[in-house]
Amino acid sequence: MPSHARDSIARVTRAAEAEAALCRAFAPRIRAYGLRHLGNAADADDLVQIVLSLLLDKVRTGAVDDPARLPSFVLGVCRNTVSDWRRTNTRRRNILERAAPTMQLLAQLDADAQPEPLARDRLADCLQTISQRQRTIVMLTYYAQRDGADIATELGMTPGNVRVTRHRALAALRDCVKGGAS
Amino acid sequence: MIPFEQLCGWALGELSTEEAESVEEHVFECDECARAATFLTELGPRVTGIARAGRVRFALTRALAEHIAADQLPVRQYEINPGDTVPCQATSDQAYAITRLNVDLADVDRVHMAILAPDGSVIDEIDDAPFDAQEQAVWLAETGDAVRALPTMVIRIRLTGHSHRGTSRELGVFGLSHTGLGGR
Repeated sequence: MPSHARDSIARVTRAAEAEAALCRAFAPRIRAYGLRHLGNAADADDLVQIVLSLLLDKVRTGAVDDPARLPSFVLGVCRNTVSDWRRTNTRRRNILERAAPTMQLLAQLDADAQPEPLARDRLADCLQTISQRQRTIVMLTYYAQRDGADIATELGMTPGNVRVTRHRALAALRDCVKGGAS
Repeated sequence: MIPFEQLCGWALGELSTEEAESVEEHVFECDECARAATFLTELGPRVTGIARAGRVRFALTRALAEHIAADQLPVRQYEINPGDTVPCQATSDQAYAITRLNVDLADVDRVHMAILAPDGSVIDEIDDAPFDAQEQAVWLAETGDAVRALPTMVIRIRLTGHSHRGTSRELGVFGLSHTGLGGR
């Protein structure tokens, strides 16, 4: 193979690996932002595709002056995108169509990633280890989708007490799930 | 890394806009905080999935009982008065067995629940069971898997009420006459 062809392949391979690394780094953050602000997994996944597509466009066109500013750029795109969506859905559908190649890249990353073993089973086991009151608060928060004030009324607690108990429950769950993973 | 409690506050919508934006800026820079934020925001879908699959036992409140009903989960429901025993049996597809215990909760600040085997030994207990003073009731959701695993037996639930003055009284003993799957 001619050396210039080998060099081209090497450059393209390094670029593809770099893009994959960017997606791996930012996809979870974008999804977390989406879940927090949009409230459902489907919308959060759409946000991931759209924001990563815009990010990769910027990288590919050489528009990234300072890689250290990428995190704030990505966060800014997340905020603007969510703000746009709250005004109209039309723009979102058009952008999703343009983000189709990014969807393929993300699908490949998911296929290549090590699957988290028994994640849901582990969380179910860990839920059984926290106190009944903590478990009830977690179920009211995430399954029944009640806010802290409603939970306080439901359980005859103060809102401050609910907040502290809930934070402790989440910390215990995190430690238990992490302990199982290690 | 910022304190986990602050990340909890962000994920749960407890922070001011300014505080939330500051946390988000940090999460996009810090790998460890990003992992914590991912864990916290993924809890919603995961806990909902676990609840719908009937994978965890929990003390019910009226809001949870209403949500289970609205979610149309396959459940068996029982309502028992003090001193009574009701028949119960698992089905192959039920997610939960929901039991409502009617009690006099006058002057009660805390309820202790003990679940007893036929010989009186304690199978499980809940030291601070949620209760509904307006409905005068305590609820329990047992997983379908746990109920299906039981042989034919009588289970008793003993409730004890405690007041802030340090007094306590038995609120009632409630019986579930359980028939195991296949009559075993």
